[in-house]
Amino acid sequence: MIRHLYVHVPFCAKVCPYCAFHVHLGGAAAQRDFVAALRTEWQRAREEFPLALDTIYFGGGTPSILSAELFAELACEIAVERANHPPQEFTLEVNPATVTEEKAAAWRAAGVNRISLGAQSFDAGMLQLLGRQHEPADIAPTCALLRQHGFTNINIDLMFALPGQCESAWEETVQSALACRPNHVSAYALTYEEDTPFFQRLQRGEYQQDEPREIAMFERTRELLGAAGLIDYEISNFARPGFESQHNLAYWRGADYLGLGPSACSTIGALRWKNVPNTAAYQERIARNESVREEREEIDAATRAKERIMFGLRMREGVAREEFLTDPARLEKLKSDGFALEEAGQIRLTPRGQLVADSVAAIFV
Amino acid sequence: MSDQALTRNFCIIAHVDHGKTTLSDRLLQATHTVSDRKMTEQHLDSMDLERERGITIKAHPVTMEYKAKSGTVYRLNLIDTPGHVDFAYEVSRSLSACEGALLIVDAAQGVEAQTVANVHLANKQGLKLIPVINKIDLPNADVETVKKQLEDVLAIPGDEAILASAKAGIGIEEILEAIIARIPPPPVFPDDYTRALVFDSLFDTYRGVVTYVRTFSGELKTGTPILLMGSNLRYDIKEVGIFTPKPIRTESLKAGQVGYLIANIKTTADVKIGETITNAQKPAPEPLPGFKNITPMVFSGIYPIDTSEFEQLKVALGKLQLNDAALTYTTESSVALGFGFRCGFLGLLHMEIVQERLRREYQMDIIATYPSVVYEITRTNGEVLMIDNPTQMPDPSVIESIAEPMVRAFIMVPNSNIGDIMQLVMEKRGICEHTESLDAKRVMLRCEIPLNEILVDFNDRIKSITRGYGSMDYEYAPYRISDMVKMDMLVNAEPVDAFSCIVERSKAEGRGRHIAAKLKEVIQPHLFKIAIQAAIGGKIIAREDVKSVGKNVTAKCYGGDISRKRKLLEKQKEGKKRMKSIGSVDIPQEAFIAVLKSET
Repeated sequence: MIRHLYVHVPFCAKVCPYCAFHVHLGGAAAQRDFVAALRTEWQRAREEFPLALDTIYFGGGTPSILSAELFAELACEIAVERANHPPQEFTLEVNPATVTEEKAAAWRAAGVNRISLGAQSFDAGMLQLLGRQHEPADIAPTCALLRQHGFTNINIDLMFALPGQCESAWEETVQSALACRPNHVSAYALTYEEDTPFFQRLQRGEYQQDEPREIAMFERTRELLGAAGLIDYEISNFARPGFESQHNLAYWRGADYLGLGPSACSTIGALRWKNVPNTAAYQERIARNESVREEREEIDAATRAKERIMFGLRMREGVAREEFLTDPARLEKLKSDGFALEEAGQIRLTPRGQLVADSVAAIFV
Repeated sequence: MSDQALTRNFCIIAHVDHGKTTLSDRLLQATHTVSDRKMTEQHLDSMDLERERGITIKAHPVTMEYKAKSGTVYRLNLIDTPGHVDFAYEVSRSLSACEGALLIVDAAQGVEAQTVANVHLANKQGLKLIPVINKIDLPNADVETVKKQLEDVLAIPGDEAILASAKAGIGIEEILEAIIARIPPPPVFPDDYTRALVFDSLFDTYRGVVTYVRTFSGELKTGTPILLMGSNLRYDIKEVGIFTPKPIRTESLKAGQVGYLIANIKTTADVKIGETITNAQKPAPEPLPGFKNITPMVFSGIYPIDTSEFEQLKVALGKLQLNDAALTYTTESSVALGFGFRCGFLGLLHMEIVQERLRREYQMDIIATYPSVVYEITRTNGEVLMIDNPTQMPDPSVIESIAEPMVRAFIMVPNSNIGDIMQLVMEKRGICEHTESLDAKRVMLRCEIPLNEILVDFNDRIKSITRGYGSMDYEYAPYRISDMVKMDMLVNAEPVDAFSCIVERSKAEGRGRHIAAKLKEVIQPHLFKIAIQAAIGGKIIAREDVKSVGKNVTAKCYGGDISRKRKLLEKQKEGKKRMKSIGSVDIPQEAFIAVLKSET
């Protein structure tokens, strides 16, 4: 039974210079064609797989860019399933500059019960650097508007270790975010993804990385959010107890999930695939009744086990001790060196281990 | 006149670039041995490497016919000699196949270090020297100064010198006449035993070993059973002949003649240079003097970079050895580098040539470990050990003394650099024995220096201090007792065998610091701090630390990132497999290359 659905909406009003996702601009007509194709893919998938959706996640891109009408159309299509099994969590990624009364009402009506707000920063200079469309002053009113429409479960996305960002500016951003009373904060250190303008600027030496500063911000983030009652249940994710993202937890625990839309990834049983990462090609194939799946990959039991360790170690709940049976000596070494600890049969990283989570995971792949 | 009275055997000795090859070519042309049309530059040097470096590694004899001014036709045998001291023994055997030598000195450069070393060798063989001052047509030629240098440095009367320009064809006939007039004909032996000297050999894929010989008495004929007096091996002669310069089959090689011999000899190692060939049915009572078994002076490990190419490397070394009996190799293995070979060389140049030929002619990707000399270790119980590898070093508690090989170096430098060069010699633990002015601008230093100190960069340093004007050559000198120690490199307290070395105590710290710094550059941060230490016995003499990983964590990991992330980590792990794990530290192969190749 597949319990988790991801829908990729590739449209953005403007492409941010750090983003490596499959995104592009798209007007009303393009959105209409896209939604039609997506509905077809959904109908096909429904026939192919047994579905009982616990979580739905609309990401992108900017799914909140879709008109209220198109969003309702899509959500209704999927609602056939929901009628007999209402999902616990239906998340929509929202950009602060794109929310209107009409849209908020439509989202609520369609069953969305969790909003992930792409705030990124509360510093005007940083938002400009990141190429975002909104101003710091847009964020709190957007939260208020969403709350008026009944959205109580709000996540705020933030980014740190940005070029030229000092520790105190980051601290102010975290405090401003907390003032919006979110139940969940995702705090990501900036990743310089290849094929982005940010990466090129780093390569050219226009941007510099500063490891001690990043470490200080990483640690400060935990202190500030922890003091506000948001627990780091994953390396980059903080939530009040009970408000952890069920959809993301499913990825990290190694559950099956179905992805729809261009570039979306699915893992079902022993198979993983990625949809063609091109909206035009995606729509053409749907129209020709061809498969949109590419990059098929066999995921055997051993690979899934590896992935459970890789991603499980990033979570507070950790990984069951039994998962390390093939390499107990290395695990003991990690524990004695202070990178990992064991609690009630679960292995998790210490704060020191979290900082080098990739190096630790590399031992077990 | 007898055949012997009409024969002259000679060689040419010169410093690199003083014009030996051009003069050889001119002699071949003037005697019509090679037509002008067929003349290519540098006729006698056949290997690319030889041409590139302007040196001769293999000696090629050539027989010329010269009609003298008197009208008499003489047979002149030119025996080309390797010019480098690494091949001093081969040089001495080539010289002993001659009665005289042309000593070429560049009119502008004057006497050089190599000239001195070669004249020493020629004098030991009792050769008649004909000095030739070459390149007299150069604008900066200074014939008078060179003549004075000949007298002062080499004790050769300056007025004996022939003034020539091989390039312009000046003085060639005078040289040919001097060869006849001044060099004695081959001596006549009082008996008729057959005695022939082997001065080189070459492996030919089709004909087997071709042995280059000089007959002193008796004769070598096709079908004659022969005995090699050093090794006691017996063969039947299949063919004899002379070089013109192409090999031409002849009926026999009579006393005084120079040519080649083909028998059923399998490898060049069977027919050692300096060996005496005699008639097996009527062997000479004594061999010709001067034969010795040559032993390598410098050793280095040679490993394939790709460990799967071990067999290919073995085949390549075997092929090289067919033509280079002085090269030795035995299998060795290193924890760090896997399987390879411990190779023995006559000296530095020989080592470089072998490594270069493996790379060029056999396309082998190799790592050569830091070269070592052969140490003489006396144990407390009186037993003497010769070792060329730090891993063979006994525990210091059972060592009475360690002696190291020395060289006597001749260094010629401009006056203005003498201070810096003296300092360099001291830095290299050398002692200056003698200083002599060559002319108004240059001095010659004679120094005793440990061979291991000149193994890597000594010549380069002289060249850089003197901006290319200095030159150096050396001869081997007796061993000397020194304060040598074995230094180990430890990575998180584990010794890494490939980095161990034998070094003089006062030099250990500097070397240790250098290697530790290099390793620090190439070892990637681990989850823990890594200590890189240099140690003598239990005592740490240098240390560097590789800091632990500060931050290495991916920010975002969602559905679409899972495979990418896993593959990235898998790739890292794959890279680690190619590293050598020593004491839980992964050392990349570049580390071994960086440390073993670099010095100072």
